[in-house]
Amino acid sequence: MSPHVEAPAPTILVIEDERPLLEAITKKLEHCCFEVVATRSVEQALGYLEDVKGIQCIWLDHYLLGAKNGLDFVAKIKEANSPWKTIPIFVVSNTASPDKVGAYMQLGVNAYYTKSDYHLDQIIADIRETLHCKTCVINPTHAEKEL
Amino acid sequence: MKLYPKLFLTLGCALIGALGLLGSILSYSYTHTLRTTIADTELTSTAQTMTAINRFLLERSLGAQTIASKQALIAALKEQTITQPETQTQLEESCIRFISLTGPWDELRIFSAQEQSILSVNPIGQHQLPDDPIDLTFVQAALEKETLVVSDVVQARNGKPTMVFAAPIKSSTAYNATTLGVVVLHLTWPAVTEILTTLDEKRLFLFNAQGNLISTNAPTVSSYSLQDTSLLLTTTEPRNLTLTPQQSEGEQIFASVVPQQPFLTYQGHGWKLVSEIPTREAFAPIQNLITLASFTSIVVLCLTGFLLAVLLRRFLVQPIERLSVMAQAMKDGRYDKRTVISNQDELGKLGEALNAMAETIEASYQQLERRVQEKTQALNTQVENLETTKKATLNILEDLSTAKQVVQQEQAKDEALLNSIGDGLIAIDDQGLITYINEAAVHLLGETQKQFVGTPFHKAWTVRTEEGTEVPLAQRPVQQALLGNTKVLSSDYIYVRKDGTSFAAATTATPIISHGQTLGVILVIRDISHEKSIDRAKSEFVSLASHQLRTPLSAINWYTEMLLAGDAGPLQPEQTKFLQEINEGNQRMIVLVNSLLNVSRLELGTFTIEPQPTNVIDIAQAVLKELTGQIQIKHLTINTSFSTTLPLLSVDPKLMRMIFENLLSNAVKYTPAEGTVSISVQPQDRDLLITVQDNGFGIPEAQQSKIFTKLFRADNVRAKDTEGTGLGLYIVHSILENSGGKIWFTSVENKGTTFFVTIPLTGMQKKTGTRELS
Repeated sequence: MSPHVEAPAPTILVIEDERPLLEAITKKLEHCCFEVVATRSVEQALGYLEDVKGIQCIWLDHYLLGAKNGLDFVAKIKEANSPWKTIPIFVVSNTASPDKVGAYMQLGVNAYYTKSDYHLDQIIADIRETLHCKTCVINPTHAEKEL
Repeated sequence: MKLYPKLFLTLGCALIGALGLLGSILSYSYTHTLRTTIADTELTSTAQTMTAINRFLLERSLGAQTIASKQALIAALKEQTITQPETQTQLEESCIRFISLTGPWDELRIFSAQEQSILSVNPIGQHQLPDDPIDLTFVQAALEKETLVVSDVVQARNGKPTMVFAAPIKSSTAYNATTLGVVVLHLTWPAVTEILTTLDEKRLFLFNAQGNLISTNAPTVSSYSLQDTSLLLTTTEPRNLTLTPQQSEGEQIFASVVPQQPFLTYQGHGWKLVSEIPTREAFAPIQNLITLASFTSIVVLCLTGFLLAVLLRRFLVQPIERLSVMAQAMKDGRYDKRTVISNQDELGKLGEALNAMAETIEASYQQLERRVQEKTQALNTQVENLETTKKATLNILEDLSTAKQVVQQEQAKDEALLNSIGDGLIAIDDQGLITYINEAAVHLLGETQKQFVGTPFHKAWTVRTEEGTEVPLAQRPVQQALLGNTKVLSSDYIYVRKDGTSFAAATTATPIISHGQTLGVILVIRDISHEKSIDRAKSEFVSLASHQLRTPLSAINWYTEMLLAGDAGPLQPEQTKFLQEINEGNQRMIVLVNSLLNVSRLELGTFTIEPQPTNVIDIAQAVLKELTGQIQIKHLTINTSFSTTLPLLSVDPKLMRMIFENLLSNAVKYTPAEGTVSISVQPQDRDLLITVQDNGFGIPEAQQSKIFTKLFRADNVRAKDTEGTGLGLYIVHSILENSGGKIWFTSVENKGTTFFVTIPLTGMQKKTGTRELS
């Protein structure tokens, strides 16, 4: 099963502390024709935003390596003078306390997902819809059939 | 001074004053008029005397002219026979007769036109009288003027005063008749004095034009008072004079001066007639009148005073005295005395009123006395009763004292009880003033008890949110309880003491309501800072647990997903089957973990209940729809009975969904194929009643008591190898327990089970936590 490329791949910044999950996300996104920039900490993520041009979307976990968490990161890039404040953010975390969800939504993230309750396909479909992205079409047959 | 002399003196003085004033006015008026009348009378009298003198002299003038016109005399002169003795004798006889007829004359003398004395006689018949030198002057004047000439008073040759009348003797009455001679007559002067004496009793003084006294009726000339002759010389009209004692050298004199006026053909000589009389004598009638009037006035005054005194005494003083005696008697308590009513005037009416009043008072007094006697008797009875009551009261007081001690002891106990409570307790009245605060509250809020009591509660401390914003007064629990009459629970606020320190507090503000009126609020306050920190720790634990438990499950989930999707290359059928088993097992693990986390949140109390208007029936139908696959596989019959009038309820939709999911999924799961599942959602009284009934396996009776315990699964279903965590009913039971609902069931093994759930129609109770159930 190979993707059918129709347009340049959008770049997505994935910030996830758990290495296995980061790899799974990266592979799945790449498989879905995204250019993936992966990192496990807020500091590195901010560095990538500076260095890598054209990041169009952010996949964000709450608990991250280092002192700062996902909320710190969102607060930073949603600052009034931030050049990245319009980049869509999808928070994917297992830490689903109402106050944290509320805080993320207040800061202006696009969606909040509980990892264990969602398939990758579901989240990626939402990202694609948000980006109006038609860069690749996943052959759904196998995955959906199997699931 | 008594009333009588007072009245008498007052009225007497008024009367005397009025009469005096009236008398003075009348006296002045009458005196003035009388004086004028007397003065006019005096002047008229003097003028009449003067007129009498003039008339006398006029008559003498006419007499002289009459003699001069005698024909015998004219004939004798005309015929010049007068020197003949017979003629002369005849003429002398005629002249004596003429003197007596026209006199009084002292002598008659006839002169010729040549001024020769021809004949002379006197009244006593003497003839050939010696010549008088003064005659020639008047003879010449008469010849010259050819008319009668009357001299002023002159001195005759004998030294006596006289007046000379010289009348020309005309030949005829014609205008141009010849003057034949002159008749000269000497007036007898005392005749004038006799006029003064006869006509008036006053002292009269006749002065000539030069101011010389020529006649008077006074005994002596020296009695004449008016020494100043200048007054005479200047007086041309009749006038009165009053001479002061200095002017008159004695007493005051009243004088009248009348100048001589021409009287018919007699021209006069400018004489002045002066009458004198002492003023006292002249106005004696006035004095007499005044004396008489004064005497009369005194008499009238005395009589009037006497009459006034009698009348006052009779009509005013005596009735008042009688009234006074009556009043004094009444004052002394002698109400049987009555006053005499002599007339029907105001005092009489007053007396009648006083008599009536005395009668009334006497009657009232008698009645009062009777009542007093009755009352005294009743009082005596009451006193006796009071003595009895007093004894009873003393007994009651003793009891009260005992009761008071008991109350005080109870109060002390209550005080000790309130102070021993670990939570702060504050009583606030309906005005928001603190009326009581126990020691725990004082300790919490950091002041002394005295500083709090009487202080408005909103000034005693400040309330803030956890974010640091001050809570407005209207939103503070105490105020909401006061105004809303409802119990207000709160655990979200930070209480700030006056010194600026703060603590998290859980409060219960309960209104004190009596007869529908809010009398105040009891605020129970507890420092939950420690609980808050524990809550935070619990939340952190659940958060970390959920993260740590879900992360590996997520890895399995996502990698299985990718493998099954062929992302790692095509799979063998058996590999696919194994991966599907892994995926199913993982999904059950995720469900189990989520359920365990929910249980954990329920037990830790960290879950949230957020009620909002919700259509409960829509949720039930949605859950049924989600179960459609399983229902169809088992060919179950679903009966529904949903209320058509149910309004939106204030419930947490997520929790409501969990309730329906667990009950309906259990019913579907534990009902065999071809079975029936029924769901009813209907209001009942004040609750919403949800009934989920199945005709499935049922619950063994012996295990029914454990059905809501954690991880419990009945033996009969476990034997049938159905899926299940044993947490669903526990979670539903816990949710309803925390949100004000109830759950119970009836079940018969192999016949089926019916679950009943009630939720108040008023909705679920809100609960603030750190986690939602998932």
